[in-house]
Amino acid sequence: RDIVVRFRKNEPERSNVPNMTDITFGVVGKDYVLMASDTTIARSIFKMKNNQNKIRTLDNHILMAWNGPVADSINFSDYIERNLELYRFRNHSSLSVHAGAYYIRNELATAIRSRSPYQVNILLGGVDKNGPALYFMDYLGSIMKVNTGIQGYAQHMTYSLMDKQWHEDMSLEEGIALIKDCIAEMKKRFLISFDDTTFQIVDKDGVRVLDNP
Amino acid sequence: GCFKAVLNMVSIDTKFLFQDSCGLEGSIDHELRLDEFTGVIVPIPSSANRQKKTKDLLNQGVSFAPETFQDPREPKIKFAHGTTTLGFTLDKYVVVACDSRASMGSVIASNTVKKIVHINDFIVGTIAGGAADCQYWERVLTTECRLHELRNDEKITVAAASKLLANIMYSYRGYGLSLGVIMAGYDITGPSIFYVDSDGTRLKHHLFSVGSGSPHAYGILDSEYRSDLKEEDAVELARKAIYHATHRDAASGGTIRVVVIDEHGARSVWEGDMNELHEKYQKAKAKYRSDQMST
Repeated sequence: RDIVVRFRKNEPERSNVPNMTDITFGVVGKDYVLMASDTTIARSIFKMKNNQNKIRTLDNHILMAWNGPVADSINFSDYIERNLELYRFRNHSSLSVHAGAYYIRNELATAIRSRSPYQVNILLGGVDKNGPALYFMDYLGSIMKVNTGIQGYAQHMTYSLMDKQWHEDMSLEEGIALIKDCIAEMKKRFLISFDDTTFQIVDKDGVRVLDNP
Repeated sequence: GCFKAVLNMVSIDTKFLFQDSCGLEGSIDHELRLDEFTGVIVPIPSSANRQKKTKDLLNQGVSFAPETFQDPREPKIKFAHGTTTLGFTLDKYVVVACDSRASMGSVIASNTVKKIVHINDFIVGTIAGGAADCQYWERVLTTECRLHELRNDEKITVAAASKLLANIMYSYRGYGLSLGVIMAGYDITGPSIFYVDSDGTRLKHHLFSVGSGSPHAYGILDSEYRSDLKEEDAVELARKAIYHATHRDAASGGTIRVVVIDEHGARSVWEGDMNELHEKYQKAKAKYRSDQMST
């Protein structure tokens, strides 16, 4: 039987559809996961906002970077964040990163054939007793545990850089240098300009923002 | 019916250009042509399927079929919503300004539309996109805000009000609503503005402009906006930005209205015809030039 993914019919033209233009990177290091994203929100040919944080903190020890139209992404992130909190209230302990990732994937997979699928691609990073972990998730509900994660058009330009430079047990300086190289490559080759990027890191002490990486 | 009649009156070439500038629903696949002389990217209908598209339009009216939507290979630059609205926050207050033109195709339906809706004494919303949608849903929002006040005995924040509207919009996705609202207000957290869309997008920033004239307004705003402007300068900046947008955009015009919201509430600060502003600015420019030449 053919499987058809059908988004809403009669949907008026959405001027913020090019979600592939969001840039997010994630890198697994020695005992941390480092994530970076651009901070631009665009509508048609304009930048509407240039200081949007696209990396959400879930439960104080998980980072979720979203790519996609703002409405879907923010609603989905809110929904996930609050459900993970609810789990913590009910069960007096947080979900592990692996369980959290598969919960999110389950939500995406359930939504894809429903009346209103979420058009969100996710990079999920966290550190728990099993060490650092990074998961790459698709709006269709696919999931992959990766060492280097990239979303959007950035994949075409920076996967090779990541493959070349990534190695096991990278220190924080090496991780920052790797992502900075990828951002430099995007600035050089990507048609759509972006000004700022935000760097966030999660390690055993929790989540924090790197102000001057 | 009226739309078809207007289309028949106007020639084929200008039909497509008008549709684009007035942002009417129903799209035609355009090619983009770079005009070498002016450097402007212009949408033109490809000559191959121009006749077919015209016939379709005239026979069926406007089409919402998926194949006429944005082709990912040929993105269309489309400025929808024939209006110009803007809002920006300063340190202690918010300034909101709008034009007042409503256009139906090439006809100006009204030059005196009130595009600023007072949701309560401290929160204001603008209208861009479908006028009926904006008026109706902002009215619904007004009642919801009042209910919040009655239930919780406190004034609703702009963040909460905009989230209410954004959630409503998100739940009506796919139903063809068209809204581009700037919600501005002063609450316990200070002055703030939010942009809320019929997609369910909700963004917080210090400066927004929405509508077909918004690119022109952004040019003026981005070059002169500072967060420490005094009120007279801020109002003048808002006026100037709307004036320039109405000057260049066919779908914006009429009277320009400026509203300021501070800790004492929303008040209408200035209302005037854009043609009078035109005279004033041209005189000032001429005087400036003659001063320069004489020194």
